[in-house]
Amino acid sequence: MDERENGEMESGRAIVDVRSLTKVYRGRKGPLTALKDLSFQGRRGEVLGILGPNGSGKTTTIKSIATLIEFDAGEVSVMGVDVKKQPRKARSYLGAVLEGARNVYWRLTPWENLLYFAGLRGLTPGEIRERARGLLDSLGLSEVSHKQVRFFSKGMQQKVAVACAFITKPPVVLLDEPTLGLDVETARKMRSWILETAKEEGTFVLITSHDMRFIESVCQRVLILKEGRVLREGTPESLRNLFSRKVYRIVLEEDPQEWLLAHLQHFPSFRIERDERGGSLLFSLQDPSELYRVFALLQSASLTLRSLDILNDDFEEVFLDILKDGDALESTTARGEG
Amino acid sequence: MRRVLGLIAAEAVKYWAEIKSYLFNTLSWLVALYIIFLTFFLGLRHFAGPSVDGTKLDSIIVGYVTWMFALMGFQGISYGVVEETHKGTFEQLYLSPLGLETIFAVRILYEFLYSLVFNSAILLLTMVTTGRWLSLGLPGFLKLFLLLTLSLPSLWGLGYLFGGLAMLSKKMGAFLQVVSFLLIGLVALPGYPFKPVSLLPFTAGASSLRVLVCSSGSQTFPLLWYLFLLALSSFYILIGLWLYRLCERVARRRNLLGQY
Repeated sequence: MDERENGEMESGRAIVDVRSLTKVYRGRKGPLTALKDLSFQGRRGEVLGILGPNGSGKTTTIKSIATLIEFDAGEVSVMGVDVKKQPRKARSYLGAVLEGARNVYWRLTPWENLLYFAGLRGLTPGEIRERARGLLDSLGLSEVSHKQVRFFSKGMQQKVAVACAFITKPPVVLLDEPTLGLDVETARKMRSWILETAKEEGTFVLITSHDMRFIESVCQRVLILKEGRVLREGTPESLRNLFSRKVYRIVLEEDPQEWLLAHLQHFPSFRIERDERGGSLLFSLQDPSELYRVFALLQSASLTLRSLDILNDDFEEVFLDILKDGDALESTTARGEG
Repeated sequence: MRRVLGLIAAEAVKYWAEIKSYLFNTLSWLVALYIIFLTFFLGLRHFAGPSVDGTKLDSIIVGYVTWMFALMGFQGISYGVVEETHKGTFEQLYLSPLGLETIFAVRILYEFLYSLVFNSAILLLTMVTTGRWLSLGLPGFLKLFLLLTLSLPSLWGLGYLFGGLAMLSKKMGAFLQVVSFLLIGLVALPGYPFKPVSLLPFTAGASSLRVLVCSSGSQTFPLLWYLFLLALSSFYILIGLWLYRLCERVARRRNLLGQY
């Protein structure tokens, strides 16, 4: 069986295959559909992100793959193993960091945690010593490898949890909100580490996060969920192109007149930002040619232009646009063309 | 089998690390249990006066230590689930391809070894304090060990059941404390020779232990009695595991695993 599964891996087939996944929670307030017909695949070396507002089904997806939840319909397989029929075997291919949990033992050191979690997967300390040293080293934990985790910062604790998820070189790693509570620097380092490790070891990493920048920079592909359904799927770039509106910042020498402001309000996402030297006008434009109209208006008001900048698109804006337009687009998907 | 060896090694690493980390708590617990026993023992001797004979006092000592074994046997799994949930590591245990039952089975063995050391310390302290020395001799000690080993697993079964219920209900933690005291009843009931109450978990074993110690190890039990203890333990283990799996399935369906 393992050879067949390895064969599937080598031939580039999906190592995680989610088909028509549906989960309904039945509570006192009636049934709540957490996931409806969710389908996607994951391949070796790929980092896939799941974005979505609270209650969109991100964690339910992760838990369904991890066999922590019994889903109602659909199929999920990991390395060709059906998680419903052979949950234990499927788990042997998984590592995970789960949201809202400590994931590691705070009374143990990072070293002891790594040995322990390898043991839970049936590996003896002798078999993973080198691997454990390598992980601690690459995550910058070598210096503190023999201190109890309870004395660590949130970021370091999260690093220990991530190291434990990767300890047995599992082909699939699930990371539910791995950057929650992390400072910018730690999140940046974590991002680079995940990217490198996924690439080097051919791991499929599935990440959920609220951190748009993190998802944008670490994921090759993104699923956007709303109410348990996929609104959009694609590369961060393709999603950005689909919804992108160039943001232009125009700085004027003097304040614009009232009549001019009334005209400018007609442009979508127009706003004024004040700084100590005067006002900045900001425009988000889907069609750059609209900029000519803006200039024409500024010229007619005899205002002097100090500077013009094109700002980077904000992925967060793109995400919000997708959610906003989601109901109209619910059944369509833009497969990664970027 | 190789995987289970990995798990056994890992649990040893964790167990030892936690013993070191919680050393102060362990010693405090030992002292607290010793004081509780002493209060009980001296109180009884004071109020009952000379009418309390030596056999009765021996019976109290062995009853208390047996209750300690029962407590540790029961709590290993039931409290294990609650504690892991509190620590936020329960779901990680669940992700082990070896299964939670196997993990807890290995933990029970360590817990049993630990309780042997811990309870021997309590026994020694109580014997020194009360001046009553239990003399069993080697054959008597072997019989004691056999009775304990054959009957204690029935409480592991109970532990699996309550562990399963703890997955479903957040209130189970408080209820477990009540159950821990109800174990005194199971230990104290006269379960030897056979009576209907002997069918309760651990009652027959605890009662046999008491009879054995009070006879200074000379009491002999028929082979059928040992087989009965084994069958009873197997029954409770199987029932406990079955109900545990049922609870686990409901917990997975309702997304309750690891929720606290």
